[in-house]
Amino acid sequence: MHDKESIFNALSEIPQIWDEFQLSYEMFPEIYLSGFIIVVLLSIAGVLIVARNQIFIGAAITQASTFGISIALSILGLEAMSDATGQARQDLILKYSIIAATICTLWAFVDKSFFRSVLQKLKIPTSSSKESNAKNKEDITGWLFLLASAGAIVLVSNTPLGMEEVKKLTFSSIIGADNSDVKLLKWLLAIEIVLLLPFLNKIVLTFTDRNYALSLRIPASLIEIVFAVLMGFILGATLKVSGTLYSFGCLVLPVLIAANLSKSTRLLFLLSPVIGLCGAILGFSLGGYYNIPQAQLSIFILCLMLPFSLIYKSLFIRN
Amino acid sequence: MNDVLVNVENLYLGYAGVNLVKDLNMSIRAGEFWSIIGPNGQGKSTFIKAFLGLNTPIEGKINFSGIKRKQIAYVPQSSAVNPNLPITAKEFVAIATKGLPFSKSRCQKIDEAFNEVQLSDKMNRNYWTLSGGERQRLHIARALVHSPSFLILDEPDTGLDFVSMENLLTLLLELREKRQMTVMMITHNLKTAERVSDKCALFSQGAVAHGSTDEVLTRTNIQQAFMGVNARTIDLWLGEDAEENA
Repeated sequence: MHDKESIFNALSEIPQIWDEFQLSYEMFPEIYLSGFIIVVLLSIAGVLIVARNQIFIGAAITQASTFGISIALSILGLEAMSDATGQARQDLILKYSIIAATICTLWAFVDKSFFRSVLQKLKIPTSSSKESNAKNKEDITGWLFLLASAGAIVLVSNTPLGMEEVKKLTFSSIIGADNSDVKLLKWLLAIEIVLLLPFLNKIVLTFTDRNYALSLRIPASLIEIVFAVLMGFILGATLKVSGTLYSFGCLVLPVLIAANLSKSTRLLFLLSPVIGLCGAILGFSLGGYYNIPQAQLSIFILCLMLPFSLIYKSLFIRN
Repeated sequence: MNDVLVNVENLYLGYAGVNLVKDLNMSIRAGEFWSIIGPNGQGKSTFIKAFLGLNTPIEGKINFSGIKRKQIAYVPQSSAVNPNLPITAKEFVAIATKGLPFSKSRCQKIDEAFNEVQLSDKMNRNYWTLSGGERQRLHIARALVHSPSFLILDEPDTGLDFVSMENLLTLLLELREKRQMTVMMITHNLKTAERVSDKCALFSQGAVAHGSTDEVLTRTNIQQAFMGVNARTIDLWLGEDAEENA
């Protein structure tokens, strides 16, 4: 009886939660818009990361990008950061974030054989592909993740300004997103869609079966470089706006949920952003109403959706 | 005599100071069925990769005088598709197909390829729920949508039971006949090579013995290539005809 009452009470609050969400959206449209665009941007890009089974690398990249910002702040930017105020300071953070993320994504997504062939053309001796393949990639990824997590704090620990920025990135808050962030994110979303749509098959083939793509004379290295640079810009921008937790969560969770609900890889590009948006809208509206950090709540909701999607898959998806 | 499709001239293959293939000269003619055999690590896959343009020879060249590169299709040993990714058999083939996504000719080609490999009833099955033999036929279907005149297969018989292997070999022979294709296949099974191929290349210690299957698959050649192997094992590999070949 008591349970029924509490469920009824919770359901009766839905109109109030929705009203407050709408009200809050009207007051801070930039914050909500940036949160929603980020989840769409990342959940589309995340399909390719999941396709290549590089989920842990995704985590390491987001963390390494924060580390990159720390390096930039401690070596290059402290003086400039102290001088810069307002928008200029935000632009500097964005620049460092994008540079760091792009270096990491190039390392992670471009096949090492491309770098080897470039070095060979420059007559620089390289190890054989067999020797390099023998090294465990997970070791390097794990090492990078830990180095980046610790290093991001260590490097800026004695600089209050840098520490403030790194803490903001680590603990994920989209409060502070402004109109220029929304504009940049909209542009990135448009570029992502324009690059993906016409070449979807070639891109999916490159990320699922690289050698076969090469045998069809598909320029796999070029596709990887373009995707890595785009991912660098996307991750750099989203990290600056929403921090590591929200960025990494939006990158992998919607895709993992969608993969349990769909029978087709190409459908994931549609299903994944829809699922991500549902999680974000729920997280933002409930977070606003119950006064819980919205970015964290959105990721928490998406995490809860994952086991349910697994149950759905085992019950309803027939092979 | 059939036209020469590919001429291999003074070819050296390898990596980082290791020569796997030295000074190879051979011609491949239209309609031939080649088996590439030899112990592990002797350059068989490297040779096929050079054919596909996936690696660069140290020296020499492969002249595609009678064929365009886009007419060569490849069937890998296995696929790199992530097992956690939802992908149907039809989508597996479709993403490797050029042209407009829903064009009639493209859909027709995909349907035809599935018919030829007898997998039409499994088009909507998840790739990873297919058996090893079905998956291998699916890989062939993916190659067939490009209407190739030269099919290269990398160990297609690996991990297949006797029935699946027989079905696969029968399919390859039928396709060769029907589509007038040239076929080149890496295999570790000497009986398979002997049964289906009319030409053979035996890779060992940098040298490549090549010619008609009967000329290449002799007891002496095999003993030299697979050092240390005894006569009884060779008999088992080759079957009862071994002694006639020796």
